[in-house]
Amino acid sequence: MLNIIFVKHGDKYSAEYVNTLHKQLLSYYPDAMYHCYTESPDGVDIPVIPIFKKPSLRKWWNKLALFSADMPLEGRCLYLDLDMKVISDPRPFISGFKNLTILESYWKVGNPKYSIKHAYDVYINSSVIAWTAGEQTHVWEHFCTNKDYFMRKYAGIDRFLVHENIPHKTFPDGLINSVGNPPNKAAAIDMYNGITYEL
Amino acid sequence: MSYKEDLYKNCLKAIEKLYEDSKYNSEIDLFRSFDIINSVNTNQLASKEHLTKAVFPIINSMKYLTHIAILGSWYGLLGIMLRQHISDEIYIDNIDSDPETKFIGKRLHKHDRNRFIVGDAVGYTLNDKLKKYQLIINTSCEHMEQEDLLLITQAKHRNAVICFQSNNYFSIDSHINCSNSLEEFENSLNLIDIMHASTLEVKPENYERYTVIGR
Repeated sequence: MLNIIFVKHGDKYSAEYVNTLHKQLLSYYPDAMYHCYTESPDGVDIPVIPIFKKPSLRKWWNKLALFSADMPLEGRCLYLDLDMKVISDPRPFISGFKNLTILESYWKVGNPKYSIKHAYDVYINSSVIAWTAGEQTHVWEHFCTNKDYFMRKYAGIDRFLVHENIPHKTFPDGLINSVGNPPNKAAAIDMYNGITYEL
Repeated sequence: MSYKEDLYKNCLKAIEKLYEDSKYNSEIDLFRSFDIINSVNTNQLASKEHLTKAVFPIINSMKYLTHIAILGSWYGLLGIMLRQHISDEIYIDNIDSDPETKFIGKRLHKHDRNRFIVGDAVGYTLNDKLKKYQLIINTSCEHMEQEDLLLITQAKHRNAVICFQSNNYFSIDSHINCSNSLEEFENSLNLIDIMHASTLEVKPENYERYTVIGR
């Protein structure tokens, strides 16, 4: 069984983003179990996992809770950010469930400005993540050991994963085109990475 | 030398040590140096000075004071400030869940009775250790869940004084429990006796820091 999970926290993305992405993925993954991890289930058409009350987190930091042993998921898991538009079949690129698998930021690779040590920048992007439920619980456990410090130190979870030495692999090239960066020809999914766009 | 000069000097020494150590140990976390700087920045000093000024008359009026707890104490700045005004006999326990705060805090100020305890505030409360404190301070309520704040107010000794700070600085990721106003913060604590309530305007970030003291 494949779980496809979205995280919606705060008011940046409405339930419409969840429902639209669900519809787009449904043609390629008709048998998957879809879930939305949210504190605000109004208007969401897929099953909801209520956001943990403790620890209370904001925005993207909630993505890390997906790795918790308390997350009610079993089997293979695929997470996608909500600001994604599925253009073509992503399945040939989606693999790596035995590990923690994340996107490589193709637009950063080879650019030394992202490797300056104390900027804690990274060459990965957690807009798409694959893993197996229950096998990455160390990620959440490590975050919880000192979460306030990690949230001061790192601008987001990508930096946390890399600079806290969490083992991970990357998806093959071709899965994502990052809108706002040099295009990745014929990629399966357009990723807006926070840029406002019309559904 | 004033305590501030001493503090800044010790901050520079702590940062120097981090840098020196990092030359021979790639595991050294240089972000700590930035964190130390932030822990004594203008806003931190202003908000802790505001609290010290507010709590000092109340400390003076307390008949019995041997133990002060500072929850979420970071590197111990508030404890250093309070120490300038209170007897050397009184214990000030800095309690923070970040294990490094203990080592760095000890470098910023040395006093036998300014102690550092690694642990989270709620764990401390549930273990009933909080009962020994006559004054319980928490300058970062905006980082804590509301139910945990209430747990602390309920677990303290009935005569113990609570001195809590929060703010309306919603835009920081780790601020999970801000208040919209002083009144909202005051009401959220369910204290029986409010001894002090005040607002500090923080510029240029343009937010308000609220201080409430009571039982």
